[in-house]
Amino acid sequence: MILTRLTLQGIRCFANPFTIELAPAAINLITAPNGSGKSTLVEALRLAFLISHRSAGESIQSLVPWGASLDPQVTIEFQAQGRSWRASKRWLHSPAATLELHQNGSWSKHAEGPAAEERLRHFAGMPGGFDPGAASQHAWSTSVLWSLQGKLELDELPAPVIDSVRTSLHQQLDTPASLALSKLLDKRYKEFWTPTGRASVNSPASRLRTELDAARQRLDAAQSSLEQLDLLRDQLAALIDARAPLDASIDALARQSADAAAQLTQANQLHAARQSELSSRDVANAQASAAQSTLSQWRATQDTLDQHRARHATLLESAGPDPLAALAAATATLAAAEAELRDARAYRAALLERDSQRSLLHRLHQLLSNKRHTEDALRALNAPTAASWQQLTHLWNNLASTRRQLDSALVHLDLHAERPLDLTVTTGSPAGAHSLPAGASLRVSGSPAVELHIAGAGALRASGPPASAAELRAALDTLESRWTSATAPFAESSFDTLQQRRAQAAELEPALASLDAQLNALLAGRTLASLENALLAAESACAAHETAHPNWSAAPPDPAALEAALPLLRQQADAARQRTADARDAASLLDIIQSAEIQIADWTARHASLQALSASLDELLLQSRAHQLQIAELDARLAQFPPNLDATAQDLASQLAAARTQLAANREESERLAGRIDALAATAPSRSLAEAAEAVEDLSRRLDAIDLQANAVLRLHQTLSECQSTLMDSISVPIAASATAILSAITAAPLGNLRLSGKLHPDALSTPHKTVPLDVLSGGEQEQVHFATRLALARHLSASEPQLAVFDDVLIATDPARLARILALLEEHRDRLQICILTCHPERFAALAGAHTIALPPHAGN
Amino acid sequence: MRFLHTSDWHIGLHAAHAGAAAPRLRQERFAAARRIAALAQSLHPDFVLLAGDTFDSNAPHPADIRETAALLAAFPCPVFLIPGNHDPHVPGGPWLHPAWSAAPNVHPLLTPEPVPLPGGALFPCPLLSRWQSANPLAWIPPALPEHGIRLGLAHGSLSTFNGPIPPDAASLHQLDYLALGDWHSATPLTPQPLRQAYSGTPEPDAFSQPNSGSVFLIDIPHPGAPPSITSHRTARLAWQKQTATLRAPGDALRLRLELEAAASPDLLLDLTLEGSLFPGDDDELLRLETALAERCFLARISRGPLWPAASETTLPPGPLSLTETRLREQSASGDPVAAAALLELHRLAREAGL
Repeated sequence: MILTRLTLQGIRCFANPFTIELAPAAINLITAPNGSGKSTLVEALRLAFLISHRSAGESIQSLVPWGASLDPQVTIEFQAQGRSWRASKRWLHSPAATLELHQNGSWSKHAEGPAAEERLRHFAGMPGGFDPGAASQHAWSTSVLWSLQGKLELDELPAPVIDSVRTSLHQQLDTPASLALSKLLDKRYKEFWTPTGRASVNSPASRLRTELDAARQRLDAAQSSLEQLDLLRDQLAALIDARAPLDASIDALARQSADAAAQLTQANQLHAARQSELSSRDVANAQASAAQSTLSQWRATQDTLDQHRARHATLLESAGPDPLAALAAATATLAAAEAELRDARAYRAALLERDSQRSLLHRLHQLLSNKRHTEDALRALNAPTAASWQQLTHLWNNLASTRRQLDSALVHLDLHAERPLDLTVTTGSPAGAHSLPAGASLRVSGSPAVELHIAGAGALRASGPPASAAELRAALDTLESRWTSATAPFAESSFDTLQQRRAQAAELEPALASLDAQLNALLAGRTLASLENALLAAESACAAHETAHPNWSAAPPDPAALEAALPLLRQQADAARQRTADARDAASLLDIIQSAEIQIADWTARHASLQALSASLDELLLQSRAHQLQIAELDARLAQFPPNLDATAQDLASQLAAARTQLAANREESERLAGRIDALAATAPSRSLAEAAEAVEDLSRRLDAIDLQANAVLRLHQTLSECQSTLMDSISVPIAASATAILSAITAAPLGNLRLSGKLHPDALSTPHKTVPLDVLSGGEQEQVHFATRLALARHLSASEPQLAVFDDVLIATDPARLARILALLEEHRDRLQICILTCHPERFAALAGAHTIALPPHAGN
Repeated sequence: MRFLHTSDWHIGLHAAHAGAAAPRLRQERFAAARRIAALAQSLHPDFVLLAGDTFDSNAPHPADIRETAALLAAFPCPVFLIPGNHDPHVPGGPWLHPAWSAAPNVHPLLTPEPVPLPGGALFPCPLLSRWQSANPLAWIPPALPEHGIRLGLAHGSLSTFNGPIPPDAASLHQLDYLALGDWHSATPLTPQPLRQAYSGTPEPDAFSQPNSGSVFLIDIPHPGAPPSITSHRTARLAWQKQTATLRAPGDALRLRLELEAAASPDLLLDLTLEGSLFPGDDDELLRLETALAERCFLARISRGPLWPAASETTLPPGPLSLTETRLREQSASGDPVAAAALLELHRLAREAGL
């Protein structure tokens, strides 16, 4: 498509009609300062070819000049497909689109409305079949041939544009029909597969697979039921098979058990008879034993009765008359003698205690008296104690020392009057007026000076060291005061007197300590009062004994003599005690004698006589012997039975019962199993199995068919994609080679081979050694790469028909040398490309000598 | 002595291979049994021998047991039958169902004991488990004059086919005739005389069961006389397996017309299609599938190696043409998915107007 004329009105700065005419086979250089409407011209071109006249949106509204109420209008004249065309379009209030064809010297309407739009889009490189409302990037004119203001960089081309480029390149990759097939294939693909190539959950195959899984589960369940049925039947068969041996066993056990029971009954009868004989024998034996015992006792009783009677007489004789009274007298005598002995011993002890206490108390009173005398002497002395004397001595020494220091610190003025003198001591001591007779002396002391005035003679002043004795005097006063206080308790302040007293006291204090030690030793922790109480107690005890035994005070008793008399008294008491015992034994023996006589009377009453009892015993022994013989016979008969007959019978009975229980359990289990089998068979698992297997088979077959379809669609989809990629490569490779050649021509030194993506976008330069991403190139080089790619694409797109190429304010970063080569390249292509350059820098394009220059007035649109 | 020999009714047939037609196939088993009953009415046998596998399993549907018992009760003569390997006599099995007590002429022979017959004796050999390795006829006592005509009734394959029954069992056990069951195809009746035979199933239940679908009528005039065996057709269904190869334009149309003409409600067809598809063939095959599904008892159509004829490439040059070329190459190497993809490509091309 070659543009020859463009008229626009009511668009941005072009409120009024404005027309430019372009040279068809030339480089058109449209120059104008900024803001003159250059880019609006390109926008008008886009509107004319690609924007529907029905559009009334914000993008169209924004075109209307500010403050005006105009409809945007564009009219273009162009050549395409070997013919001249004119298109007029108006937007907003009276929208219209008309396409006219120049024929026979005049314009005739070719199409209008949507049909006109469709043709215009086709001229601009938008493939048919696209939504008219689709954006203009679907046209290769705006994507490749027309570089909008400052936008030389080539974006990745959208698929429709690539398709359109392919179409224009006569590759026939995607015709509308083939696109329709692709759409159908996509739709078909989505029936089975997700975009990522996974099986779609909503596909027929997935649904069938779900049904198949359910059928397989039913099949497994039915199979399991049948297996369970077989198992139950096997179990039932085993139970039934087990019954015959069980029945036989029960019969045998029943017979054995009956035999054992009969034998047991017979044996039990014999045992009963034997038991009876045993009882009879035991009764006879017991009776014989009793008779034997009675007989023995009778004879023994009879034998001892006479001995008891003799002994009784002897005892009576030994006891004598009134043995109890004799015993009482002897016992009392002995007790009185023993009591007297105890009292005598106590009295002796009390006497000893009383004397001891008296002696101790006497000694104590002596020591206490001595102590009181010593203490009185010490008090009278009023001497300081050793400790206080030590303190007093220390204080006295300090006092003396201080006095010496004071004395040495004073100024002494000694006067010796040769004649009577009246003087006055003004400073020093003794102060005041003094009258000294002749020959008298006076010492005046003071510190630091002494002054005196002698009447008639004058004043004297004597001074010493400047040090003052005031402190020493004060210290001396303090010490003297302390001395006075310390000695006040002794009513004596003389050190020597006190020292004498202290010496005397030191002599008395050891004697006092010795007395205290003796007292403490005698008291031994006791008090004097307690010792006096003990003395009183001992004296009371002595008095009590003397009261009880008045003669003891005169002649104290002799415990040894009293003790020597006791053995005799004790022998007498023992003899009396023996007589009493004999009397008691005689009484007891009399009871025995009487009891034996009663017993013998009883035996006589029961058995008549000893001889009769003996005969009866013989009879009982004969009976016992007869029973024993009978028992032996029964034992012999019982020995003929098998041992443990009872246990055997019980064991057989138990076995029989167990076998019967087992049989009953077998039958019960059989019935239970039969019930379960019937219940399971009633569910017709075989039919379920058949139906499930049939469903599985049917679904599997259908699924196989669907899977084949799905896989076929997948394979078709994949193969078509691979083929499209293959063909895409076959397109991009020659365009890349062409762009590389153009780039080399621009740079004069090869930068490398330009590599295009599948979407015909330049993405790298490759050299034999490395691949260089575009973003590491300089801004100018990037600009040149995109220019080269655009020119290569434009060269291919214009292969069959010249095309309009627009460069609006581009190549800003390219240096003059390369720009010159670019312009030369453009010159080379002007037979195939109608080139339209819009710029505000016409000097950069001055090399284009043959360019058709259109200089827009500074305010062309105003 | 005249009797009918039949076997392998397989009531409650498991017919996974028949897919959705299986329930109808099961009903056909009863229909065949009813046709045998009708034969019994017309041929006046003294009794009927049913040589095992009356049921397809030993856990048949109770309704099937009842219906079978009722159907056999309607026979005009006694029916003696034995359990086979599909329906062996086991505790709780179908032979203990109370339905049999309501059919006095029906005698499930569950123990190997001689059964007296008018003029002879029957020696049944019931199977008590699915797997039988020993000769089930081993128990048959030697012949005695009072036996009269000795008949055997057994189920199982011959030992020459890994079965338990000796190939000369009838002579080995001195039988005038041994009625066998297990094989669904019948023993060929020539040359006669035959003393033992498989009657086959009265209604074939699968493809590849030649010589089935009949019962035998046996006449034996006296002990030792050669049996006279005649076959009587009882089958209704025709099982047909076919492969059709499409080679030239019009083959699909011809096949459709031919099969539509042959289609019948008794036909079970297993058709495999292969070869080249020409314009319109795909539609013909779809029509064929629809017609057969409507008209046949069962039509199972499998698409084998099938792809568009090479001369039918009408796709424009470009990716579609290249895709077709690649898929055709893959198909030629026997890739069924590629062949199907090729068909899909052409179907979509037609739909897209290419």
